[in-house]
Amino acid sequence: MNLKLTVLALSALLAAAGCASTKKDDGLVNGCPAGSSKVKSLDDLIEAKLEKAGSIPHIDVVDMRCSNRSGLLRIDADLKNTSRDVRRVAYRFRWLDREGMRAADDEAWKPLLIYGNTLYTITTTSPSQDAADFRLVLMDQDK
Amino acid sequence: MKRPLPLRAAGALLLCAAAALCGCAEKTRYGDARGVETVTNQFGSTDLQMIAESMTRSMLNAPVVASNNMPIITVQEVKNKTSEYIDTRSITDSIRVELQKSGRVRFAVDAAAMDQQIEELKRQQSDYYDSKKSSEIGKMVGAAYRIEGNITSIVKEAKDMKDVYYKFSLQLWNVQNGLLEWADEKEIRKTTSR
Repeated sequence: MNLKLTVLALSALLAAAGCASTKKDDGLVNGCPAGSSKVKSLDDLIEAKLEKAGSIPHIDVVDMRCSNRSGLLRIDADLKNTSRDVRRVAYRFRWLDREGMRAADDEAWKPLLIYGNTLYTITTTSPSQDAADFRLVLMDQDK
Repeated sequence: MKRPLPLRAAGALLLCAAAALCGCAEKTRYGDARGVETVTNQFGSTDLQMIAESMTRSMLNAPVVASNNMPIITVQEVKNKTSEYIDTRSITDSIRVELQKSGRVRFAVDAAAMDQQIEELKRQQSDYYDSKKSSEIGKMVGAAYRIEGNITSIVKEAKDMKDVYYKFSLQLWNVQNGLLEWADEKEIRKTTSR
């Protein structure tokens, strides 16, 4: 009886822990493909998907969400400007196929203005079904 | 022994000329074709690329395209309603290339390329071609949807500042019933200050 109760309590605890952490399902974290990286949390996901072309002070990627829409990957990435000043950055996505090979031509760098202490959500859709994974590349434009 | 003055003057002159030549010498380098271009605030390559990408990705989410039925589309004119010269054909060409690469749509020959298409069809009907292998007249496929749009701008200029706002609108129309299936806009603001 005691053993049964312990197992039940443990199961409940595990379930609660699962609900509290980032949603992870079939190699997906927040709906985003984990690829070959060991991604267990949102921080891991951002670290795995973000590439910075040089240092970008006061700009942080604070959230990343993905969903599959008719076979295409839809991505939302939240960028936060932690300074009081307006910051200008440029971004683009790098698309990879399931084997990690380049799945599409280089995108254009897109300039972005983010007001001080605000959040801006970048939204994109993968260019084709071949593009199964991605990297978000950021570059400072204030320098 | 002291050098004669004219010789020294000529030497100085030569040095100045050489320095001037070095200063004027042109330097050409390859750049990033996809980089952010801010040479002037006129419509530029970054604007074209951003518009093409934004419109394409948005259209890929339109129900008629996302349904995976490979709709047949034709590209019509994008009207330039700005005060500057913009090659709108170049924008629609880029949109067409990106959509074609997505593998989700097919394109029918558009009005601009129709003359060349007919010319080729007619040429293949001549005696020089094997009639069994020639393309037949009357087999072309019409588009179920057509793309059209326009680009407008608002320009404001003050003493030491110029602000340009572009709005690019694109629509996907059903040819059969005239219904609007998808529409989107892309706005761009560029400000130049002295």
